[in-house]
Amino acid sequence: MPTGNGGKETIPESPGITNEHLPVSRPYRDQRYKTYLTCRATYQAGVPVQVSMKLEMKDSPGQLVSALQPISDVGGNIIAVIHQHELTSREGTLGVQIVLEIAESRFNDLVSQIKEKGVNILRIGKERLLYKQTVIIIGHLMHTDISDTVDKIDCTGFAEVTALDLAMPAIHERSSARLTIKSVSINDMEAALGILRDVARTKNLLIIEPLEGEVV
Amino acid sequence: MKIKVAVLGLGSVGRGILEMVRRKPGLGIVITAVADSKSGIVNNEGIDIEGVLERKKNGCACGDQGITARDVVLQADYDILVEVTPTNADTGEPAFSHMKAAIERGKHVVTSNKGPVSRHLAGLKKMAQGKGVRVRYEATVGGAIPIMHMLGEGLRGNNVTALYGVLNGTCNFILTRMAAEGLTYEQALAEARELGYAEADPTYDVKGIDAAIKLVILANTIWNNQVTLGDVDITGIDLLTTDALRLAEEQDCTIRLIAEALPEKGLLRVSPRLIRKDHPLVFEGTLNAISIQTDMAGEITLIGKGAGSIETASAVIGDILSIDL
Repeated sequence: MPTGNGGKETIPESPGITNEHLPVSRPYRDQRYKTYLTCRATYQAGVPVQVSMKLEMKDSPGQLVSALQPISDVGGNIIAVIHQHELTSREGTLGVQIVLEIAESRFNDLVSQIKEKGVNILRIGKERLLYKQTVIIIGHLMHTDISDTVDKIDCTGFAEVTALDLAMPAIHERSSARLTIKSVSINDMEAALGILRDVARTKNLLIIEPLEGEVV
Repeated sequence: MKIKVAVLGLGSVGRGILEMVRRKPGLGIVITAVADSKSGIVNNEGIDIEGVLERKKNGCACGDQGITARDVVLQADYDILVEVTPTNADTGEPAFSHMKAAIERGKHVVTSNKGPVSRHLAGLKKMAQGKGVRVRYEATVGGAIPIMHMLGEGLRGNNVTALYGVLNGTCNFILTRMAAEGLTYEQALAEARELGYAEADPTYDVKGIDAAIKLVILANTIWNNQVTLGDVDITGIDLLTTDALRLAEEQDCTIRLIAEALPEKGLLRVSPRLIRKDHPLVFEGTLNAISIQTDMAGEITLIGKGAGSIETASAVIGDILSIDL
């Protein structure tokens, strides 16, 4: 990473969670993280997987509930449901993106049951980080190990820093960075920002967040 | 019938009030007494406003050095005490004592003084109620913006669920200049000083304390929740970098010092926030704005001049005229 005057570096969007090298030695007080570790242990035992699906259905009362019914029927766990207006391209249809956890062995059952409900599955993928938020941090970012700061969020499993723009005016001056954070759900975003606030407090960084309840 | 008013404090706000009362006889206000820090003048028929303003302009005491502000409060003939002395945020004194003494005499009080209002609002209101008089303080928050009138009259019956405000014009000016011209914080502050927008000691403004005091006044007015300055989570703008503003700009955003109150979340905060440039609270220069969310009226945002002699006098005169004598 360049540390020269006026240096600016853009780290591209990261490809996704690798699930490698979990820093179990960093005991976060955050309950979500503990939950994640439990889930991950179960995953390693070969049981549930997390997937995202883009669904298209008729925009009429009861359709969404009906489309989601098979998920609980096969013992799946809904993590997030997001209405996607850009998906709603055709007249009278409703586009939603869902993230769910399901036993791998039940996955094919789920797909056929959803289709039986007359719901169109547009896409199945691993793109599970659907919520995006941007924050700016100011301080001695390099001296306080920015990669550790980023890692504190990335290692949660439910949120990651997907873009980092860094501006370093001079070696001993405070630098500024814009972080794009993506998460599985709104609550996860709040948890990720909570972690960032804790890190900022210990590293004496200033965080500039959006207004309460706003996304930028 | 003329409204008899005694004015304490002849700084920028006090002089603005006198000037407007002189220029607008149709208001029906007569100034029966004034006092500055060194002297006072009392005349039940109305003081010579022009003479007082002339003496202040020449740097002299406004009147008789044997008459103190306390004498005016306790002895002059007036309906409404206008308390516009400089704010002491730590104790609220001597303004608080003056107000109490006036209420005790059964006089109404109108003030621009943030110190006593942010610290003792509930007490002042209770005392005033006991004496059947009013305490009005429109000018303490947002300069000319009639937020208190809007809350107390036009939005009666609404529940206010959230409040967001740009309550310090100095900070808004500095952030505007940092974003628009790429100035450093220090350069923008120096410019604000040169233009008279910032005090010699800008601590109260740039550290977010002034905005937090106003937030306390608004919160106590709306929710009567008796919060104090210590309850506000305060971060100033003095550590912001030009790079941070540029990074925001690249996302069609900017940074503004925003006061936020969301009682449901127990949130009371003044801090620089990342905010979209098309948001109603983003505007240039020294203006102030207050945006509230209500259950019936939805969202309402008022934007206006947050400081200035005549602008603040507008708020004080609005308060004077809204009191039924």
